Amino acid sequence: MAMSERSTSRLACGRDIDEVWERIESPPDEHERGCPHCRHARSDLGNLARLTARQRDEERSDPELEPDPAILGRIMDIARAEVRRGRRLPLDEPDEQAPVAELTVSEQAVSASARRAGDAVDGVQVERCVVVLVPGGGGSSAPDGAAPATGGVELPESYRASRPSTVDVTLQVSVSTSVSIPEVAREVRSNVMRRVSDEVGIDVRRIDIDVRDAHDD
Amino acid sequence: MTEARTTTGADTTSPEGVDLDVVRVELASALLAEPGVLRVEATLAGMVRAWSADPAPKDLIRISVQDGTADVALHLAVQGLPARLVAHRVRDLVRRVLREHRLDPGSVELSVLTIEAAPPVLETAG
Repeated sequence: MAMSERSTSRLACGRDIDEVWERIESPPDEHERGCPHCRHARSDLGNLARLTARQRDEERSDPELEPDPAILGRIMDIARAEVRRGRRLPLDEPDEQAPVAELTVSEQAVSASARRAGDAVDGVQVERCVVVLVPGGGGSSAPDGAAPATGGVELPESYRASRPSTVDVTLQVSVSTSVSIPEVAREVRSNVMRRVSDEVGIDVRRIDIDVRDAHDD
Repeated sequence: MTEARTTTGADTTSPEGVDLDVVRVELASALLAEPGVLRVEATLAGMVRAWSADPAPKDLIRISVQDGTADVALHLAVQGLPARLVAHRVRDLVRRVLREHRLDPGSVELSVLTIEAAPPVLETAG
């Protein structure tokens, strides 16, 4: 099979047609000057190059083919959003039978949930949040297991049969000078645990809080 | 082996004769009615395929059919229920809709790109 695939692009003289195409803008080399197969191929490919160049120039100046600026603007917005969304994390604990996760959540969505939980604590401003998947899980460190609220909807069999994935969260925060750091740290941990469980449905094994700054109220 | 076909836009008929545009419309409608689903999110690839500044939800659902098996890919924004629970329910829903259209469900790649904060609960007076 590999031979037949190769032979489709190789001329009778043994030279690959891709090689001829790559040199089409340059003068023929010594082999091409003397080889009828290459001369014929260069002639055909030269016509093709001229036609495609002409077509490209026509399309470049055709207002009908100008993309709508609104579409381009929206595409750029989406491109920027995709960069911000970061990696996709599995929602279920990875399974040896199915190593590629079908159900995922963006790193940014998990991070935003944890960030909201931290910002909700009086005297705390979250400056940065990093979420890292824990390979092999490890379960929730919440004392009560932090079962997520399910809103009374029916739980699918696949949901009950699988385990949620687990992440570690690091929050870099600024804390008000008027609050006790140990107290707000406890509250932030509790909030993050509950909120990530309720909004994302995955487990949080560990929450590191890095107090980077202090601010006045 | 029959021809593989991927649709998100004008090309709508699978090799088995199933109108995939109809499937996508039904799928979009059903999943937007699903508790916790806020919207179908656009991705770069989805925007380029739909080539519209404001694509309809159905245009952001990708269905590929090969040998009667349909693979689906979609991206969601959710609110009010855990993303993991919504994802499992939506996967079941997608498989159900595919079966109703005589397609065998293959992979359902579903990614929750956005989780909106739950709306504040308004306290009633009195």
